Amino acid sequence: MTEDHSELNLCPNCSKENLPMATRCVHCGSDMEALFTIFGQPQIPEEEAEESLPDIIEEIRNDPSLQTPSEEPPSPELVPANRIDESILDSEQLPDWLAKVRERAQGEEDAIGDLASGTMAMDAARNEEASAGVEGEFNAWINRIREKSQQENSVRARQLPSENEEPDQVPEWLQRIRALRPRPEEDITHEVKTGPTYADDLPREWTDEALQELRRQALSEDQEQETEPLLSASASTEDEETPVEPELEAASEPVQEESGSIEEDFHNIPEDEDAYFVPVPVEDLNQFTEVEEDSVVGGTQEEPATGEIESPEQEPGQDTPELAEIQTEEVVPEEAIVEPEASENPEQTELESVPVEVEDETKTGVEEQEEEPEEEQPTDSAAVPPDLLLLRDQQDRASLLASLIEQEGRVTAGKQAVRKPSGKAGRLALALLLLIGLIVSMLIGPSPMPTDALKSMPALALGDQIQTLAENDKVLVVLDYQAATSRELEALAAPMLDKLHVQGVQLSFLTTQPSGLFLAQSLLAQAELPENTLVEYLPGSYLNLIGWAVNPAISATGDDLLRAKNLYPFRLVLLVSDSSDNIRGWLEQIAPWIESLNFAAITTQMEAPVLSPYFDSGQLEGYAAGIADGNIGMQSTFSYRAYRVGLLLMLVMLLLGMISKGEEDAIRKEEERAE
Amino acid sequence: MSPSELFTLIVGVALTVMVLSYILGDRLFFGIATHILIGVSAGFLALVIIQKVILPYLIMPLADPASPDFLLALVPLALSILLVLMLFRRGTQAGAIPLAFLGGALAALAIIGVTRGTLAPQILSMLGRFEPSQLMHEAQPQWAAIIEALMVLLGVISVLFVFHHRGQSKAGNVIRPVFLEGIGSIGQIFIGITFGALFVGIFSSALIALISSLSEIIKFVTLWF
Amino acid sequence: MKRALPLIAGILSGLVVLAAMFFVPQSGGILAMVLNWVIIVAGVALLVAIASLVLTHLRFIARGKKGFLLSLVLVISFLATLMFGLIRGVDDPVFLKWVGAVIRPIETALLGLVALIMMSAAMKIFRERGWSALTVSFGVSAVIFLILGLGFLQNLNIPVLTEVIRLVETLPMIGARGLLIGIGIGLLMMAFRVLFGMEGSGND
Repeated sequence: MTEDHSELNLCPNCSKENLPMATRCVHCGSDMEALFTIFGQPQIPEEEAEESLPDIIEEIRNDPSLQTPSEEPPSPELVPANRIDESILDSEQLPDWLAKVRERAQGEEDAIGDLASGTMAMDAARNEEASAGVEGEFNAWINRIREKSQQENSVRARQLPSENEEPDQVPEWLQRIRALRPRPEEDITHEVKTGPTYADDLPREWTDEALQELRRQALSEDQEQETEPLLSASASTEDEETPVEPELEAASEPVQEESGSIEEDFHNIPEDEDAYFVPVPVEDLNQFTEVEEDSVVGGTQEEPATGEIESPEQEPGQDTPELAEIQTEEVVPEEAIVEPEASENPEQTELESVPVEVEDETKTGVEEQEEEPEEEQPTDSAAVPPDLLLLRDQQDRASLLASLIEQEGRVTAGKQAVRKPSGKAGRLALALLLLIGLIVSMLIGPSPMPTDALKSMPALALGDQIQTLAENDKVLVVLDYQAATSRELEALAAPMLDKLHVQGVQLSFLTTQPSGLFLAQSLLAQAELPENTLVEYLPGSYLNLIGWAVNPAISATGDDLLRAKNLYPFRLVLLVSDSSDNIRGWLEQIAPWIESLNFAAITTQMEAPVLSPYFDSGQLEGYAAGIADGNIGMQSTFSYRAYRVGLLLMLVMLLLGMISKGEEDAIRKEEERAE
Repeated sequence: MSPSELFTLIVGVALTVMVLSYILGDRLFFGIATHILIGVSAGFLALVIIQKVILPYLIMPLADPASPDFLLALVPLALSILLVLMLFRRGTQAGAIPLAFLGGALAALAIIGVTRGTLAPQILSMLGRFEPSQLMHEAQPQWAAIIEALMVLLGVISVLFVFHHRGQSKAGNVIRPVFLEGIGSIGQIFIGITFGALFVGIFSSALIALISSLSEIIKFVTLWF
Repeated sequence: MKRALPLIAGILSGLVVLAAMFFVPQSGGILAMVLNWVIIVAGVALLVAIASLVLTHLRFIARGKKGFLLSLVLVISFLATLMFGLIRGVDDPVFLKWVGAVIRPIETALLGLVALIMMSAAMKIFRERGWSALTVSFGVSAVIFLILGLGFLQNLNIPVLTEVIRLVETLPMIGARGLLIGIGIGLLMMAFRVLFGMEGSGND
């Protein structure tokens, strides 16, 4: 590091050289503070300098040369830094060291410092805001509009006593309030009127303490006293405090009482909005409050002296919504961002205070209030009042910020498909369509299935297996199905059993399901087998036979309970089952132990795909499944036509489902493209 | 038609209509029908278990203390008593022992059964398609058989990969190479084909049941007109 | 100790069954004996479940809980069946006929309802699940098998078409085999966990 000796300071005491930043002489130890003066600034003690800060700010504010019409006034906290900078910037006689420091600060972003970065960010935000606003022009406009509307309101309020005799029993005070806020748009603007009326255009920061104090006093003291803390918080507004119209003051008294009575329950944060409370960086908060304050100033500086009921300093009893809004903006501005409608709607808190019988009406008013800003979408900013324009701008940004907060941490995938609720009516319609289709096709008449219908490979293999059985070969028929599928399975099994019986094969029947005891009757009848054919119940299904399959030479408890316990004499086990799991159990637990035993199955069509690997591996000799493999379609009692109609309808529904999904996707893509 | 058959038909049709009233949004008749089903099934099941399992397998051996089966029957008796204790609040824990006994025995059976009955035969069957005798015929390659064997192999491996894929996905987000994702997609296609066939199968079975129910109703109606 | 006893019972029964299956001639009738116990315990467990069901519904009736009339229906039908069966015997044809006359139409109609519900599910399935390899192949497969189920193509008796149909019918087998192997491996792992006491058993 090199030092330029020309920049060295000489000690006033010993006249020796010292480094530029030295505060004391390294040689004699005398104080060198006096050498450090900002060029063009008078030397003042530190404490004094702090105290005179507002004066400096005032100076800057009052200096017309420093204010441009389109520029927003800087915030009080940031003014000193700006002011110093500007004063130095204007000066061409900068000390070299300062020039170097500033050069470095401009070159390195980090060197700017937090305060400076915050200032820059706020300046940027303010400039952006300023470019959108047209304060200079519309302030006068606001005045005119408000004066006009308040004159109308006052006239209407005076007319109310005669209208109070309506049968809806709405209290007079409420009617007056309603008359005073006939248009929802005005309510929206109320929020920006809540701030104090400042003598200057400068924004003020509301401190929590000041607001709390104001709120406390508002509940206990009279109107003038209540405004004092607020005014003390903004000292310059005292002179501009406007008197309240006596009529309106009287009209607002019941509201004060009501709101006072509900003070216990009141809180300015709606419960369902807690989820939106997301802490944001302080810089962001400052930025937002700054913007909000700008709008507050814009809305309050021309506050007419009509004593609008919404104004806190004029209507202490009504302070809750407005103060709540201010507090919300100050403390949790995100909430105001996320739910602009809620925070901008002073009637929401008022709803709690109004009598129950008029709640619906007030709700309707709130709804209208919420709806109207959406309905009105003027493209020309000049076509709407400037205060509304500002609010919409705020609202837009608030909604943008809200959406950003909501999306934080989420996967930014495409828009989710909007689920259309499919009600019971649709399901009923479909069910009736199927029922009607089936009934009509059944009523037309019998329609047997063609006799030469193509059977599946496993069914053909099963047929071949049955053909190979000789007379007196033993076949074990295991009935393992429920009543629900009995119709389908009996239609498949009965002809085969009949055929086996005709071939002279010895059939033994077991049922693994209790229901098989009564279902077997029907099956035997259909297969034209003797009624006295024994059907034994096999508790535990194949578990009961594993012992015998593993070691046929043993005898255990209950061996004599079952005739068909030893499976070795059988050539084929025909499983009539509606469960592929049970069939798999037989193939897993019994088949590996008895290699000479063949297994075949008669099952429902729903189980067929699961059994196909076992047929492919040779574990199953064959299986018959579904309507095609049996002769159910050939039965006169079964309508094959109805079956086809049902399949056809299902085919149509599946295709419709695919098409509707495709169409939905296409529409969504189109919408996304349009967006 | 005998009076008994007629009465059976009337009962059957009435119960069918009660169940089908569900599609019209009715809950009362549907509820009655299903509760009848549960009650009758439970009663019948209880009877069958008592008469076909408990009496011959448990009570009969206990009836003869001199029999060698008597002592053996004491074990299931003890386990059964522990199970019955589950009906009472204090005995809930006791029921865990017989249930654990059941679980352990079934787990052991599953190990042997799945290995010998499913895994080994299915894998061998898949590999058996690659035997030279299957792929060659008179020294000529059987392209259809070769393609089929490859397709089966690829299909099974890709489906198994879907299992693995899902297991890993549950553990956390895993980024895989493109070709592994491709294999997973192929597996999904094969699973989808199987599910499609199952879907049609279930619908077909349900449709047959529905037609049977409707034909009973039509049969009943035609009796009177 | 409360947790250890079920664990010991599970491991012991599993090991005994495994040993009996591995050492077949030497194990004698142990396997059959243990499996008989399993059947008895399973039967008693079913009875306990039925008793619990009935007791629950009796409680509903006693308390007059909402829907107790349905509970009444259940209990009456249960008791009627039980009494009828005890009097006539479970193998009595008349008893079996009546039980069948009640159970069969209800179960058949319930399965029929599935068809009606599946109709509406078919409309919604793609909207709910979106497009993926699984859903697309599912949809195409379902459409093809529905067309095959109609039987029109089979009746044409075109040899090439018949071969194609045969090939298509084998396709579900591939996925099913993969699923079976996957499920088998999963089952195997679970069984080992039970035997090693790593999986909760009993009333878990």
